[in-house]
Amino acid sequence: MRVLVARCSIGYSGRLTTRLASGDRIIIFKDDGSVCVHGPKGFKPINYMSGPTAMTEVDGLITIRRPETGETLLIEVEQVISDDAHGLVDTAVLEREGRELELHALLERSPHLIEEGLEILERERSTDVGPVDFLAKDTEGRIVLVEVKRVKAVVAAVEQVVRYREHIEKDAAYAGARALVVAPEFAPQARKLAERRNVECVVLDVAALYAGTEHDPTLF
Amino acid sequence: MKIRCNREHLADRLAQAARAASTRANLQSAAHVRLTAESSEAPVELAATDLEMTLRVPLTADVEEPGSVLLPAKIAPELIRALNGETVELSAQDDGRVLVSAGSSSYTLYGLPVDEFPQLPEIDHEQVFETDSAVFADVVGRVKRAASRDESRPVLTGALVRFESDRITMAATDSYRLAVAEAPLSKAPPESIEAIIPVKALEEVVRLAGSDGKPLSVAIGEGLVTFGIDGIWLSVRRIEGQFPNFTALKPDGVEQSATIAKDELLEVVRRVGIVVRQNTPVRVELAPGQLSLQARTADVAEGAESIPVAATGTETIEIGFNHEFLRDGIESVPGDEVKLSLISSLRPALLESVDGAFWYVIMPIRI
Repeated sequence: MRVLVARCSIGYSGRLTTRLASGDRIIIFKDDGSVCVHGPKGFKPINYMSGPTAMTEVDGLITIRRPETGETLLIEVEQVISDDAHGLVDTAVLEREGRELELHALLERSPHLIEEGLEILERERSTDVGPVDFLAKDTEGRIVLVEVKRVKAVVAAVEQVVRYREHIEKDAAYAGARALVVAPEFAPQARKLAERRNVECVVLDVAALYAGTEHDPTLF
Repeated sequence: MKIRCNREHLADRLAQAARAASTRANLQSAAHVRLTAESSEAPVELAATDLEMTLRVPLTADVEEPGSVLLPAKIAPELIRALNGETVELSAQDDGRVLVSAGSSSYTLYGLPVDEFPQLPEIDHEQVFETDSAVFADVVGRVKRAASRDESRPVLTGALVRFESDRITMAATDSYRLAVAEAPLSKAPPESIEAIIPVKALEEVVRLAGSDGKPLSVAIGEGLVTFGIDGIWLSVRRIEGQFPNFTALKPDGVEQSATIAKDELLEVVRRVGIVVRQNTPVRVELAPGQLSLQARTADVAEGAESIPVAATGTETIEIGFNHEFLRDGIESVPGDEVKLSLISSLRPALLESVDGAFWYVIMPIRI
């Protein structure tokens, strides 16, 4: 990767045409052909082009072309402040907690975190109005429909589970089914609607879900 | 560039090379196969890469004009296979397009300029040693299923491959199970050497090796591992990082164990698996005279099976396993018999071949 810090002016032509007058900039040329131009302030690049690109550099004029789209970035370098190349290795992948499928898998193993004694009968039960996250049974034998949200549950989540219940109750065997929305947080409007529609709101303790005791044990 | 060659041969070789081409939309040039015809004397080379794995495949062709072109990896093999005629001619046009003619057919492939193709890693031929492809393929087949598919832990998506003077050892783990296979080698490197190699690349090597026992060339370099078979070279980036100390994970202090006919055990495990859903455990009970398996999926089905066994201990141990992991382990054991060893319902269990050359540790799940 090359990091060029330089006073330069920049022209771009492609989706639109832009011209950036002379100023001090950090230009990053990444190994996959991506190019980013940063100014001294702000986190967003002033200009960028995703790779692969083809680059030529002649007498302080850097031309970067993206063949796929025909976009061109022209950088006229007036003064080089620094110009360094680095062989960087980074194989790590950003880990995010709370992805919905992961939440589902963890909840399937620990349904007591939704309700003590709850038994999961089916995950992703398909219905004509979409798949319901969990079809479950409570300790009294009643069917429970569970919609899981990984972040704040809003009105749409309540409406979603109501639709599932209306659909599933067409089958007499599922009459009297309970509907639950499970989320770490609820919007006030969602709680109000849930109350009116007889939907239960279960606040998910994400920390408990991810706590080591709730995972299957591992070898190391 | 202008070449002429057997159409079937080109289609086969293009399809082989294209397996390394990138499928990522943001890397358009790597979604191509580079065809390089240097001279009428040297073989033509087809090369493709997804920047992790690179394949170089030789092609027998008559070179009329040397040069290089990029051919779209997705459609070029399919198109050339579908053409009529025994011979096909490829010729580069001035604008980088490639004219493909065979019989009465004429097609133009819109390749990219060849200078946009990623730079390929160099093969260090000085480090190359030869080994047994059949042994290598067998060992890969025994451990590959235990590797992780979770890209967030790259080390576990590879297998640790260790060459010693007289043997190969391979280990893979996804942290829930660990598979270790050892085999003697008639050909090995002069010094012990090891690397963590992506399982996807190992599977590709096995596919290239086929079943006709051709020698396998291997070069383990600083950041790159290269395999060569029958003129085809596959290079792959080594996975950097520390592989778990797998020998320390082999359970000791076994309380109960039994050696069971593999086919019989597998049949029972597969059958009981029919009533298992992904996250419901198979209950295994090993008693002095009997091995029992049970599975239940709420409101769907349940089942139980038993096999008479001569267990070595006096204890009865009940333990739960992920069905898929249990089945994978049994299927991977070579030979006709499987030795199952248990310590307790909470400690890892061991499945191994009678000769100890393969062992598979599996963590229990709560029942």
